[in-house]
Amino acid sequence: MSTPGQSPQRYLGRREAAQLPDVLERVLDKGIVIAGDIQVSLLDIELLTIKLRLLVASADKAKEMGIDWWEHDPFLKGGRNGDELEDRLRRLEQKAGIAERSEES
Amino acid sequence: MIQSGVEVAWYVYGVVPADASFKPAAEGVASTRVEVVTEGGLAAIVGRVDLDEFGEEALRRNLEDRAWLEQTVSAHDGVLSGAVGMTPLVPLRFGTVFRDETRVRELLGAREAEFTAALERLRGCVELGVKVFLLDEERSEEAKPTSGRDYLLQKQRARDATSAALSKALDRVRDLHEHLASIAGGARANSPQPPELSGRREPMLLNAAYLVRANEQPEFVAAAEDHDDPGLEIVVTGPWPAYNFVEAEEAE
Repeated sequence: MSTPGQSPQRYLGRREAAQLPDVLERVLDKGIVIAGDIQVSLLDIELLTIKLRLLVASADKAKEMGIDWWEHDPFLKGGRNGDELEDRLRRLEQKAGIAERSEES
Repeated sequence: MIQSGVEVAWYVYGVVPADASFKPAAEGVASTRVEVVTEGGLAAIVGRVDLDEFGEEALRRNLEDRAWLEQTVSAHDGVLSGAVGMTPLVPLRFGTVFRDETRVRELLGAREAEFTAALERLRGCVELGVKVFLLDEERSEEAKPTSGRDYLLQKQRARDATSAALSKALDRVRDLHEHLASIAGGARANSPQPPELSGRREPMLLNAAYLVRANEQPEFVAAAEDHDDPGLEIVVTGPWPAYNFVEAEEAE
């Protein structure tokens, strides 16, 4: 028995090139992991995912931009350390300050 | 190693109930036909692929080929996404390849309980993605600093404003995620994509996935987009196969 066969509505054109990152992320990084007969796949894909993040995505750069808060604060994991938040905000302030163009009037 | 160019292997996209009624995509990875292998109450969505392309050596090489990867990954998703909304579906991660059909049947038999439970859990549900970007705030320009001290004070004020804006945005995003999680059947906040991956200059503050009842999608999308903060852009994607909700530890 299947659910009513309504044709699924697509939001915001996920087939566009801009959505490719979402496809890559899901297909390479999510989905159930089954050990197939071609053993190269799993390990290599994990490495590949890391590579995608590092080479294509450059996690360090994201950190420089001050958007690394999730590393310490995945919402669902609950409680966080107040000092850590302060530190993070201070770092963000510094980054923001450095990036600022304040000389124009 | 056999050098034959016609040696095939079985690429598995996902698992559905054996009695699922859906029309498989016409074409899967490497332009192969999409087929179904049934065993007991389960069916695997598969394709016969060439070992010259999906064998160990070839796969290792192809994974380095960005164009091949993008095309093949898109095809993998295309096959699964074509069945979304028509049948519960357990998506497999990219690159699950078996030597022959018997091995695929063995997989279905060996993990029947697990697959069946997952399909039951996902029945009637789809995955929706919600991404939130922090847009540039327009900042009022200050007068040209008249002294070094003045300049430093301006910098300080700018830092305070940026910090306050970000802090406020993070609070809003956290509230949004908590609200969406409360109305969804499952929720997962992934690492936001950095600009090089997202293709956008603006920082991504939220990259989450939610398991939503198929018939409640419009309400969920409305809830996700219901905000009046001009500093945030919310992007909803999907419906996706439940890629984010098939590992045991993600069940809520």
